[in-house]
Amino acid sequence: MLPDYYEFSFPVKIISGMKAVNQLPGEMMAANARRPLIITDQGVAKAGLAQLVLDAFAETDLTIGGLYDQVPPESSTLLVNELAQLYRDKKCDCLVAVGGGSVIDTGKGVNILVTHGGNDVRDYRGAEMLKGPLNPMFVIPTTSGTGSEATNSAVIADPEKGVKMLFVSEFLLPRAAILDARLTLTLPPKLTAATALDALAHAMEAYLSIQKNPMSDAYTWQAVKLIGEYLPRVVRQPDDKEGRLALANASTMAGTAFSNSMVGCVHSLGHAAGAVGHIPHGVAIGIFLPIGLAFNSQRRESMVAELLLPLAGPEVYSNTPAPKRAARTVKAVRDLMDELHTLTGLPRTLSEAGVDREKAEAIAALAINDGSAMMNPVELTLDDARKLVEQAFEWQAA
Amino acid sequence: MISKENYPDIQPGKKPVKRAVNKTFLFVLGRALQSLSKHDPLIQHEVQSWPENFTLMMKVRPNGGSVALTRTDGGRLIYRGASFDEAKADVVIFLKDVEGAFDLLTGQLGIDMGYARHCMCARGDLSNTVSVVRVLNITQAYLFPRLLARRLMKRLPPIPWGRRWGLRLKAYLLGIPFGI
Ligand SMILES: [Fe+2]
Repeated sequence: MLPDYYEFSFPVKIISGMKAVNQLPGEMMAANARRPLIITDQGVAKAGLAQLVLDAFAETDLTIGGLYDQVPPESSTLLVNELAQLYRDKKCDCLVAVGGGSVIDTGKGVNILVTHGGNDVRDYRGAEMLKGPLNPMFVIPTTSGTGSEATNSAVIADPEKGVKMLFVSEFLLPRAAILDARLTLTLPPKLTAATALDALAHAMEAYLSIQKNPMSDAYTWQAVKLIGEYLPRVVRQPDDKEGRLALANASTMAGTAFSNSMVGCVHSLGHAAGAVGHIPHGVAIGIFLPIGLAFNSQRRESMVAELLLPLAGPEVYSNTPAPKRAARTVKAVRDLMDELHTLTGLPRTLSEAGVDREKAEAIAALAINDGSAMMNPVELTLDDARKLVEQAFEWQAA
Repeated sequence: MISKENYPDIQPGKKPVKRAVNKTFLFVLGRALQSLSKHDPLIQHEVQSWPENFTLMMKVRPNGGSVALTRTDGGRLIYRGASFDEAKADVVIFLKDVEGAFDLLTGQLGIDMGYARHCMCARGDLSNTVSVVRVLNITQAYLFPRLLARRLMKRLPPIPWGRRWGLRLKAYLLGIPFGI
């Protein structure tokens, strides 16, 4: 299906390898930057990963302007404003974000301020409003899930108003994403599983969205294939470097797909369940992925069916009669979740995740107002959302 | 020899008809929303979830017309005219160009497809975007014939036949021409 019109933007250089972080100083110099501000979080610093990045600067003549390692799990506009001041005070000329979604989104916010000026990042919220490119930013993801290193958006919480602010612009894409096998090696299997399911959902939802296009479809295809092939392997063998790098690649590719084609109802429901039930994003998304695929099959059956090939491989695909393939894709996701549940204890339902059934109504009400519902192929009404949330409390054996 | 005298500036052309149509439809949209929000429970339900005194503005870039609406009590919307101060609106949806705006405003392109095609960008707090889109869809379901409206949205809003025609006639006969 070729859309009448579409746009696709992905100007991020990908640097992928077992020790890819060592290329960071060279990339910096190529971008005519010499004084980075590095931001990360406590978990990354304690795991010694920030040190890996610092080590890459050995025997160069680049001075690191500062290392901030206290980014909280939820990014905040106040922190962004303070870090922008630090960047200016230390006369930095580029940013390095080492971490997951919160660290990367914080970095994107800081980069808006230090490039376009001002003291409050909230002034820049909105969609496609930034005027011109930002300073060089380098992203080193330490989880394989959010895909934030490949997306044009940032979500930053405003602690004063208690809301999450959305920033969308192609200029938020970093100059380079560095995928280094060592950075995700110590991620515990359960977290690996949850974040990879998030990436799988990014890829699959982009493929079904009303904004889908041939470019993003290509990224979806390869992301789904890599996750289908490597996720079970990495969860069994967490120190599998090749597998880790494959998942990092898949996550970035899935990010590219949804940065250009958006996600859909799985994310609407997952965001709502995460906010109301206080469960991690990846866990919530995993729970709703098979449910959302089945729901969207009413409009997108042939596309859900196509996803069986990269997910389950040519054998399964060709052995499944064409009319049964969409349902088989849903089953393949359920099988994968069963396997991950057995291996890591990853919750498959909201009940297993410890969410109270009384919260169902609040989750449904919030879900239909989530921005990602807009590009979903099927309108998500309150009645639909209620039914889907209800399903999420019971595990439907594959 | 290339001389700058032979290469004068080229000023942008004009599309006065499309521009006039856009302005007319923006006016119709504003007045229709004001009228419909007095009676339609679906619109009122959505608008009540918006912040107090929230002002929504839609503008064709760079100055091809605009519409602004402010939320008041009971989920009603007040039409604020075609020259509202952009800086005072809480959310401004910019329609990027005259052609895209024409397609969107005249019902040739649905709101969600328009967004998918990057016809618009927006400044401000986007947390109630989905609700705003639902309100625009409901309005289009009133303004346009059913066959046309069905192509513009994924699912038509559940408006009973009697109310659809009652409020449609009221909007076209009183709400849009006289602002009542
Ligand atoms: Fe996600």
